[in-house]
Amino acid sequence: MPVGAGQFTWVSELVRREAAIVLQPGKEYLVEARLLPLARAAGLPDTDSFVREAQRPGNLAQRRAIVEALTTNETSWFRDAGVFESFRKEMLPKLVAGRMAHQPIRIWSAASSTGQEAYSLAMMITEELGPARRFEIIGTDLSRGVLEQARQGRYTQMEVNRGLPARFMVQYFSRSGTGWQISAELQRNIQFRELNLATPFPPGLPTFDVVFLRNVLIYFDTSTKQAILRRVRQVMAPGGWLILGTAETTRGIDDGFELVRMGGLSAYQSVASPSLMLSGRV
Amino acid sequence: MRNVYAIVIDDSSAMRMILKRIVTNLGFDVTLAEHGRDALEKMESADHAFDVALIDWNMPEMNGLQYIQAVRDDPRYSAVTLMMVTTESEQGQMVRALAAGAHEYLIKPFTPDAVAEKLELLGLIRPAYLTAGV
Amino acid sequence: MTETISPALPSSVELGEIVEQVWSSFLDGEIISMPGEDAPPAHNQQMVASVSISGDWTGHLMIVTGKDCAELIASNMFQMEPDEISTAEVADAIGEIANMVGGSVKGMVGVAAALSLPQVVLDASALVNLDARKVVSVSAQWNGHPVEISLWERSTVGRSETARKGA
Repeated sequence: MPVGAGQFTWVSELVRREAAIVLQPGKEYLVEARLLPLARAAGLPDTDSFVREAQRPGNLAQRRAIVEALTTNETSWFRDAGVFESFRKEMLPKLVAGRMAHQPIRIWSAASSTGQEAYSLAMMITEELGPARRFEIIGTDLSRGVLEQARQGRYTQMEVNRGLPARFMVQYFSRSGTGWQISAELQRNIQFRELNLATPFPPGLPTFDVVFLRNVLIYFDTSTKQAILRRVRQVMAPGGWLILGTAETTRGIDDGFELVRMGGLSAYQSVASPSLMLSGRV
Repeated sequence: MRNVYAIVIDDSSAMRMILKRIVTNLGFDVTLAEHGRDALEKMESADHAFDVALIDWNMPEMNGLQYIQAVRDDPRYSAVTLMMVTTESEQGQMVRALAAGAHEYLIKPFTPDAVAEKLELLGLIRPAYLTAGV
Repeated sequence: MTETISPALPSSVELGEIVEQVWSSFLDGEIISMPGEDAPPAHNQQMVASVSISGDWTGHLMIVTGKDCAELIASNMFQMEPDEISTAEVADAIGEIANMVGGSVKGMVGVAAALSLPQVVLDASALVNLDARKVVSVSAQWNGHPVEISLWERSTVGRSETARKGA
């Protein structure tokens, strides 16, 4: 049984208020999948009963548990498939048209976690542009634990099951014990570094053509969000794009960006930079 | 939006129930079949076309690979999206299934999220952020 | 006697990882494996679910547990009360669990082999002795119930039988 409409509305209001995450209609399955284990642990038969419990005055612990269950970092490959599809179809041709063949395309996967976003981009770019095309991806995260796994490129069976197209699994992975190892060919173009978005960036970052900063800003207060966006703008190449999570926006945080829609993808360009070089072709 | 019709083909009734729960929660209309031949018969007699088949590999009567070949050989079913859902986890098996015409491949065991993400890759779930303006 | 082919059989820790992945995907409550320990005997009727792997490596993956534990597994998978579930459904559920563990083992062993459909024996005392020896095993606890998962290797025959079946 999917979660009831009234319960879903209440839960989406709660996570919007507490974590600024928007759960639109259609995400009922997500609520059901994440809250059912909590309901079971509380000895309740279903998700609706658990939500009704949490709705009672004073039941703050259940509410906090709901918010945490729905905001846990996702680590799937090609997360939000439509974003990657638009990146491939719309953005990549513009990036290629804007430069010489020997100039590498530089991409930053900010808050890269265990590396799925960075490797997904590498697979897609290699498939689209061929192995000879130069590109560099830098993945950064605060946690040394996730960076270590990202560098090794070893994933469990459960991890490779999450959104990885079968053709890529066949092409870029090999068995390693009970799990899977990503190929050295992909690792060649990717570096993982420790970086805290909330403090000034370390020297030595290149300028990036595309910055993926998805579902990260939600964890920070407004002044920190502003500081992060300002610093990100400083490492973006002229005409470069910033990609946020599908429910996120720079609006109301930083006026220095303007929205450019490309299919299912919302990208932001710095208005302060001379963007005509690339966006003139749109 | 119109209904999305799925057929779940697995000889285990426990696995059929698990997959039925997951795709029903995604809003799909679900038909169950116990093996490939049963699925072909149900597709033949249904009053609607199917959008997607979730197919186990090892089954009696007609296995998943044979079912995929039968569907690919039948022009009436050219629009059906085929996803293997199997415990067969060697890359050689994935290559065989893809070569026979499978569009995607999900390895058992899986979580509900993993099923939803594969169906999103296949364009069968329209992501929420495209249906409502953000 | 040692065979010429030496497949990468899982260690008991790896077999425990595979079991944990199957359990956490479909069943409520953590399964706690105790690699290397012998399972305490289940105090009621034992049920055995097994799948055979036949090919360049030949053997069986077996799951042994009590009847009440098997009923709880089925109750989890069907999302029904244990007393609403038929014996056939209990057998189906633990057979499917054995199928998933066996399939994962076959995948990591890395040899060409076929997986059989699961077989379930509802009363293990009726089980005849297999022509096989136990090579890896995991003893575990789930919701207070003992579960033993083991991998058995068939040593001699089998090769020519497999060739006929695989044709």
